Amino acid sequence: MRRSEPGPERPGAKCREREGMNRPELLSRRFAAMIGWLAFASLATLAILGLWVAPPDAVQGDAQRLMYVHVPAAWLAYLAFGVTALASALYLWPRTRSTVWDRVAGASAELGVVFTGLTLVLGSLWGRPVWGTWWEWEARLVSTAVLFFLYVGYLALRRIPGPARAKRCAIAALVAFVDVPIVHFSVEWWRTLHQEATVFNPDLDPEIHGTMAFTLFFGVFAFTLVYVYLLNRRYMLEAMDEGREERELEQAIAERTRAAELVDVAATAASPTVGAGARAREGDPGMRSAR
Amino acid sequence: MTDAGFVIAGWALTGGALGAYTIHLAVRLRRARRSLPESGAAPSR
Repeated sequence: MRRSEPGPERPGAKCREREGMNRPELLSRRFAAMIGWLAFASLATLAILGLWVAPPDAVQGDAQRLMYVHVPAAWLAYLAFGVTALASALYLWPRTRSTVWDRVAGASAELGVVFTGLTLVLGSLWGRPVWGTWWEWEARLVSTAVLFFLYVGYLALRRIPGPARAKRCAIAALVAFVDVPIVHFSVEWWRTLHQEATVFNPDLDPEIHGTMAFTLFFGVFAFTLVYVYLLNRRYMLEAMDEGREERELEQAIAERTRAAELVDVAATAASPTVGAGARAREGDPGMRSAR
Repeated sequence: MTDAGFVIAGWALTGGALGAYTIHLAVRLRRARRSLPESGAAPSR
């Protein structure tokens, strides 16, 4: 039988191996790149559909074209916070506990905050020409603002180090998620300036023109691709930051140990009685005979 | 500002925000990669 001999090392193999170890990611590099380009192309297509192809609204005119970015941003915020809640629950469940879920929760929450912020600003831009006001203290707007600040608080909580940081954050994420259904149903529960749900209404009968509906759902698809792409990137960053923190901690411990050893050696040299303990620990034969 | 002005501002803001966040992540990732040691240990999964 012919034995295979170790051949010459492939160029870059070590580099790839090192990168693979240090870059834990949710998606393979090729798939992530494909999602990124697809997301970019989808957003460009959405702009064409939303700004030129879809007809203007019978009542609101062209101002309604903001719906194709405002609504997908809001839905993706719900999705992002839903993923955060699910990942947090999986982290808290002892059988599925893994730092992967903690990282997914953190990465998704940050994206949720970006999408919620975008929703609030776009809603304000849409409200000015349609309602005649930038902001109104009504249920949908206020509950969305509360959602934004809840998750900003969650992100701040993640930055506070401690032994139970991940567990504490997972509980906070589950508590914060309670506001998501409140935001969604606020237009049903209270009389608000904001219109009621057009697509996911209580009768589940979308009251929207065909081309408009297609553009809206295409917007959700494009934003979902953006979310998946950015979630993978944010997850990678979270993992690399954790690795760096671990290395810095190990380095600091090693430095402190080395410094303590140097102090001990210096003390031994200066006074034999002070360094006696250290010599005894190291098994100094002179000390043993003295005892 | 006309309706079209609000629409253009909204769409530009969306593209700008998503683009800026993507670049922000790319810059932070590049910095994190540069700070990796030659034989860096893998973070626990």
